[in-house]
Amino acid sequence: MLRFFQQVGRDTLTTIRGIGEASIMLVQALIGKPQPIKMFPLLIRQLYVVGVQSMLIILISGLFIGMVLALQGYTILVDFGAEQALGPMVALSLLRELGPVVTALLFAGRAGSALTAEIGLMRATEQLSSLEMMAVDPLRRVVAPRFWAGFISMPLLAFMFSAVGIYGGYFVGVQWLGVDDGAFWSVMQASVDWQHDVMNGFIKSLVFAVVVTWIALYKGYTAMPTSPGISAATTQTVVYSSLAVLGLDFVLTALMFG
Amino acid sequence: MVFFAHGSNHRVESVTYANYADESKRTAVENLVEVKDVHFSRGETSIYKGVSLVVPQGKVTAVMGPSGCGKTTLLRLIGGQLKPQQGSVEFAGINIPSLHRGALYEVRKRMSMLFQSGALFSDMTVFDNVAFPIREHTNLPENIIATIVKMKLEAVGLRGAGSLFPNELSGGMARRAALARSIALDPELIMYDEPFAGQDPISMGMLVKLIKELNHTLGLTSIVVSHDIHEVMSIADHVAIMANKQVVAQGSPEELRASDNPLVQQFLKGDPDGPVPFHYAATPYHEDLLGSSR
Repeated sequence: MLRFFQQVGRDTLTTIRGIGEASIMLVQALIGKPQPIKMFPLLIRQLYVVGVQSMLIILISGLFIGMVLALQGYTILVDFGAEQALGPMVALSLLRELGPVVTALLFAGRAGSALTAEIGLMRATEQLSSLEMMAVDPLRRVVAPRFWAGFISMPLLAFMFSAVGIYGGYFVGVQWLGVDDGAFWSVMQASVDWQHDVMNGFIKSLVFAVVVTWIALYKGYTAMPTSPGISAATTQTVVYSSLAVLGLDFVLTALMFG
Repeated sequence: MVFFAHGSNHRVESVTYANYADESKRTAVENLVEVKDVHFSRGETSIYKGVSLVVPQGKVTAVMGPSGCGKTTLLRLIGGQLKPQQGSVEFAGINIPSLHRGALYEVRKRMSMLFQSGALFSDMTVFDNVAFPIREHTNLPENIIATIVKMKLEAVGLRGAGSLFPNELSGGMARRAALARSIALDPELIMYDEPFAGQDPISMGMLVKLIKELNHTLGLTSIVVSHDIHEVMSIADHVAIMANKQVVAQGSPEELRASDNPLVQQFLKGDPDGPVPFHYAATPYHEDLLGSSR
């Protein structure tokens, strides 16, 4: 019994220390003299790697999720003669929940794991140490551009996910199942509120962007410089990011819509 | 800044420029690095118990010792990547462990390190790797940077390999490219971490020659951590041997060869048994065999 409590105490302390270290890492990476001329090309490159290269999986997933939503929604709504509500159902589900959450989960699996592996390998091959010895701060040079790239690209990806998902719902609902075209769009337009639905979804995706990118960068930066170490760090990034996104989603939903 | 070209006839020419590394800032001290009574441990494991050594300015200092005795750790302490629990590590009179983050990065502009793996950036060509520290720390126009990089690459014999990526280089070429990057800003101190590890005899010979020539031509101070006794002793002016968590001997190669310290003699002669035992500490053999099953 005593060992159990010892283990719980040890794990708690390790977790608190980890959060503290991750916070210091982020502050040191982001706070400092701005160097726009040096940082802009690095940011553009990372936006391409983190954002553009994640687009395909996000768009295809969004399309299929929108199509499934419409198919499932139609079979329920049609029993009540409420198939005109298909448009707002698809749009609100995507904008409020599925867009930010699924994008964040896919982002963690696609870009988050890649960030962790890349930085972990830079650690293992002493590239981060060599930056330090060349008087170049790896936190500013390596971590900061990747963080901002994740922060900027994830909300945009979430919007793309929702937009493509709505079109997927349109194809299935209107083109395939025969829901009225005008009703689909007009009821959606009347039901979706810019501030309440779109902006709250945007805020969610910003929060998820910070959390997922932060976890990915911290896990890579502190990865053991060995093959099993990098493998474990990559796995932890996906697991911790996914759990954090789902947990935070509940909290944010309760605050925004509860 | 001192530039030099390494021609095909191995003659070294030097040209003096004044830009980033102002020669007047170079510190005239007898010992560029002084490590005093350093205690360092990782977790529960003690690495150093009172290590003291000096690195004379303008000389090649070799640090040797058995595997795992903490030679690389010493370089990381001098570079400020690790902090000792006790003692001081002075570079040009500046106590490195006491520096805050910003000051430490400023001091690091005056030193350089050649890592065992080379640590070249895999997404950059050799040219861009060498240009990297110059672009980071100066505002020189690209044509001047290109000239500097070509001169550095010529010095290590890789001017023709500027467009190659690190994965296209042999081990020896990668080490030389990393060396060119290390001298890009003409540091006062250059630290070599196992520069000869895994090198064929030709590459090893090239590196030995380069370390000696660079030290002489650029007026550098060099610290070479290595196991390769013959190569290191041939170029070192000062040698320190580490063992048992301390520096057990230091002096000129001749002084160490004449040393009556059995540990020094075991290391220099490569004897398999002696003060550093062949067997890892264990219970008596017969007790182990007759005792438990494991």
